[in-house]
Amino acid sequence: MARGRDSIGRFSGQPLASGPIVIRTLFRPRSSARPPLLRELKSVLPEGGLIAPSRRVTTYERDGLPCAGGEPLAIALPATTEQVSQIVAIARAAGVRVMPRGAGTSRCGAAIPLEHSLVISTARMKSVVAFDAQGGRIRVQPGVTNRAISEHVRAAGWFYAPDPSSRRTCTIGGNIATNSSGACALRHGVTADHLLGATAVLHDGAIVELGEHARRQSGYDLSGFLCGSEGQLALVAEATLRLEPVAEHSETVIAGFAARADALAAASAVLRAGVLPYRLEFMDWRAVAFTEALVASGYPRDAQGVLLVELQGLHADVAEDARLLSELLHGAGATSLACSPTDAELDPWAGREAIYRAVSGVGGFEALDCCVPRTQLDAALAQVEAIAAQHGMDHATVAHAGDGTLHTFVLYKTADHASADRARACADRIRSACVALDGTVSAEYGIGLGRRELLTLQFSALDLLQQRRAREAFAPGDWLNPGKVFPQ
Amino acid sequence: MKSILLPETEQAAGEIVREAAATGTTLRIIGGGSELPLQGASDLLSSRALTGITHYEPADFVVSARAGTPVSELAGELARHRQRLPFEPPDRRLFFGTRGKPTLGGVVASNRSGPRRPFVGDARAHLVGLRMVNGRGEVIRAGGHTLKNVAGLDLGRLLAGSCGSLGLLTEVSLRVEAVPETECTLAIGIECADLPLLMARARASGIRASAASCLCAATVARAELAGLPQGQPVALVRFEGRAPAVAEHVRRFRDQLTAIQDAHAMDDRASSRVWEAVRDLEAFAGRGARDTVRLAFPHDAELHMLQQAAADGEHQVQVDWCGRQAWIAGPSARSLARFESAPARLQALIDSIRDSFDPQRVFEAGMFDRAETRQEAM
Repeated sequence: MARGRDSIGRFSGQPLASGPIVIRTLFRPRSSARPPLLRELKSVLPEGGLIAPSRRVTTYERDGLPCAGGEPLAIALPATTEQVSQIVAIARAAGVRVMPRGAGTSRCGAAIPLEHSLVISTARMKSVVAFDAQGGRIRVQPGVTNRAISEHVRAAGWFYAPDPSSRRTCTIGGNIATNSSGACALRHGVTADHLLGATAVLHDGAIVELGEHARRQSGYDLSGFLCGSEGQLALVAEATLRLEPVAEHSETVIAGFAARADALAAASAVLRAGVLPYRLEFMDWRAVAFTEALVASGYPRDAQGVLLVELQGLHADVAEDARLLSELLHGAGATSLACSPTDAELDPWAGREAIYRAVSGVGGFEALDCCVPRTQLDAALAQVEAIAAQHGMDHATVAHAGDGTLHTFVLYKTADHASADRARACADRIRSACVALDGTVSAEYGIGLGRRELLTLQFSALDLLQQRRAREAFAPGDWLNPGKVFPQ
Repeated sequence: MKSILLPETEQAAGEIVREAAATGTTLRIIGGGSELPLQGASDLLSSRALTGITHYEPADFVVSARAGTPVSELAGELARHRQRLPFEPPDRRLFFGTRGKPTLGGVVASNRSGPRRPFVGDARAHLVGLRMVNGRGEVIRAGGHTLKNVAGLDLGRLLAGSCGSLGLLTEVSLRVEAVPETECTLAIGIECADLPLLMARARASGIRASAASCLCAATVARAELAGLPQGQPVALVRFEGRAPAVAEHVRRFRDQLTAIQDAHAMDDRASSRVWEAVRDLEAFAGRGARDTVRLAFPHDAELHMLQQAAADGEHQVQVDWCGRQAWIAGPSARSLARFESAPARLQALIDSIRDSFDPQRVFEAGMFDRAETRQEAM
């Protein structure tokens, strides 16, 4: 993965590859207004809670998209909901736009600031407010990482289900902003399915309680609507999340197939028979080769397509599903079948979970997160092959075979800008092809800065206008996380 | 007599709304008329003539249909492929004493969901895409046909449960699931206030139920269901899946009961019938909104209050969703309702959202027009 300094296009220069990203300065406060504003912000924040622009703040200008943003006016590090409310109100009064920021793991530029905006980082909002060990719910501040939630509750027999690949570092605030999910969305759903309530700070600093945090349910699912809004509607200052019980037993089956279509048809057969795996993943032969080279996981190297199927539940559930699964996979033409209990010597998921590391070892990559209707997955992967061949690009694909999400990695040579340009063009053509198959340009990463022009492939101008109107109802004037999501 | 407008295309619906906006008249949106429309001065605008499944490929696990499609018609087509709507949309015609058929648009607009809701999510959680006509008469598409999608704002989250306050749904796309091999229900002699704790313990130990309700003795008597023990409150807990696994979940659940908590098992057909009755409030047939109140998210103290009310013999109680909602009918039912307005800032936000879809307030929308409460009359 190209994340080196040489591959990062600076703001006001060119992004990594020529493309649609345009970062504009929406607001530049009068220089005389800065010191009083910074003093006012400092007065409501704890010691060290404001990073002034005199220091280098590059960390806060970037995320996972290889493109740097503008220099923010300042970075605020509040610790409480009240402090968030106060600094948002101060910024509003001073006419400074606000950019909420979690861990900055976005892959689409959703966490890249515009110049002179105020970045509000949740780095100091890492507390668990309350944990209901009996009811399986937890109330946290937004800076708590996804993984930390599961670690906090595991001893009591629970875990937090949405599992983005960045879960070790990404925060729950960021998860809500992008409605994060991963492989286990098939069984447990996405962030919106786990967000029970939220305390939100509006663009003017007002604090509102939503979902179960409110005494009165409004009728509109406002906390659900925040999910996937990329921080454009409100800042989440606290969230209550539903937890899932840790399964008594787990088992993974690895099945190899001589043809990609056979593997995907087998996935359909499994689901139609009523088996609902915890994870149901597809890997093409290239993804298998890359990951096996990095970490041996027991994947069949001679297969064109591999399915990883993880079953969870009581011993009785897993035993019954495993019996049926074996029949179905054999019936669908599996050329190899290996069953791996949780405590097996080789971790069957080690390779799949190392896919980002594996492809970044090869060079830079453009990562896709398109989703198509399940039955179009084979057609989408055929398009990937054809388009990549036309562009002369190497690639590898893993897919959530249960829900139709494909993660294709279009590979390029690090520091080779021409190669990176071709990779971006290739990735955008694949995204267009997925939309033509009735799919979506993004199922997980979001739109951010990097994909906002692609939204027009999916929605008419009128559809997008209605979305903008709804955003304006929350935050008039593109006030929060400005410049993101919508085509400019 | 107010007229019922039945557009046959979404373009025609758009014209009706634009004309209403131009003339300053208001419209109340209804689905199939299976629930009593609240009284108002507006003409009724129904999606009832917009019918038919527009796309269904069983292996996609998504179905798209026009909003006026009767739920029963869609359920029939899904059943042919051993699939179903997971959120168990209710049919409350007996309760309201109405005859119109529940439609998909009505179910989504009111976010009506049955006893499986706490285990799989509500109608809203299964909505992946929609088409609608907003208060400007514009035809808008939101979401899509894929199981996952984070491109743009998820307008479906607002539309589901908006009760016609934001626009007329013309088409919806919903997730579906495979029908499990079998089901079994345990009928347990416990009071409703004991249900939440029992279910929390079961969930924590990995026992996977798919419904949990409690009926007071009067509700049991009125339900006239075979297999239910009479003269006492009964908790019902359902398990679904493959037969050996269901048997194991039932066994583990029984192990959690105390010696005095007797449990009677109902097999596939009896189980299915009892949950149909619970889902559709059959034991409250004909009572409608006259003397029945639905309590959403009652606190533990309120559950104890319901338990006491049920004990006096004058009230009828059904607690659903592991205690997250309850119905009570009887002379004192309405006194349990506490009316609270939303905080001013939240109400202003709700009003702004309505304005963003319907700036002229063409759509008259019951609960969104009044200071309605978490204790919602039905």
